[in-house]
Amino acid sequence: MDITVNGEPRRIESPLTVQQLLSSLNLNTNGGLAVLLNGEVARRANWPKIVLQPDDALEIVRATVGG
Amino acid sequence: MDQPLKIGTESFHSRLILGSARYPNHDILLKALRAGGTELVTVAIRRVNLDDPTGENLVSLLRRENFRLLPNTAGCYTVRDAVITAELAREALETNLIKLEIIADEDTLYPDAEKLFEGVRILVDKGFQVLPYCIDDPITCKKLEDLGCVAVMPLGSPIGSGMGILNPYNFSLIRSRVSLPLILDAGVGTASDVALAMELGCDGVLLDTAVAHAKDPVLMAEAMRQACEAGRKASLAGRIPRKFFAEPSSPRERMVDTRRKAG
Repeated sequence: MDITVNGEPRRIESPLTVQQLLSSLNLNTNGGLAVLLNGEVARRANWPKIVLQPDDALEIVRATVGG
Repeated sequence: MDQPLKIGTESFHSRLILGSARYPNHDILLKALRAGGTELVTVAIRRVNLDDPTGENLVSLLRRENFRLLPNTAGCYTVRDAVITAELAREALETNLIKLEIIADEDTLYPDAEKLFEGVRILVDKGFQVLPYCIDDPITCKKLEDLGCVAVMPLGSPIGSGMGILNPYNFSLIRSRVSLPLILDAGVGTASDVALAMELGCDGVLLDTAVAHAKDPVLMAEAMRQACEAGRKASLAGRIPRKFFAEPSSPRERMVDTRRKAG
């Protein structure tokens, strides 16, 4: 199944939840991350429940240096 | 002993807010933040680098040293981008504070007042504590107060320009009309700019480049802290009014008679 993560196309096994995707990308899901799924904020509590669909677009963000 | 600076539900002893960008490295960043005595540090929200997902995490670095975080919406040109960025920041950092920047123009990085008002309305409605980066205009600042912001943060001069406060008279006007915390955001070049801001009645100063790009960022951060404290004390102490003519400080009376004996 093809999805887009941070602007890059990515092929994933399905079914896969947001939580599983983050783990497969070696991201620490304990804190500091946020996810935008198809233009809507996906709340942390829902990550284990949201199953990714074909052509989903995700933005995975965290805080970085800023002024 | 000075009152703490209260911004919304938060309270701070330090009146200096520092950015975390443009430092040579994280080690100098942390040393500068400590030297500045700051308690609140601004951060931006950006995509995770998937090629280096376990790379050094700025947030844990800052939180380990008990700095509180003020996420910004830097780089956003639309209300939607700014609102979504604020929501992502709240999700990632579990804070309702947001430094709202909605930029109008790439060359000046001036804020777009019309979009700013709309963004503030939406975010206040969603329960955010909004600190808007805005123009140094008393009317705009008053409107932002009426819309429910927790502070107003007018620019002294363009972001990163280091030109200081170009219109000090406006800061005095804003101070006289707005009762919210007034924080100078943007334009600081050196310590005297910070002192002036505080003398004009600002409650705090937010700066980044002036420290991060100084030849010695740690020493400059210390200078900024001292300037902030000095300006604050001068403001509380109350400066003398300006006059057009001189006024001797030594007594005019009982002057020595230096005339020679006649004849």
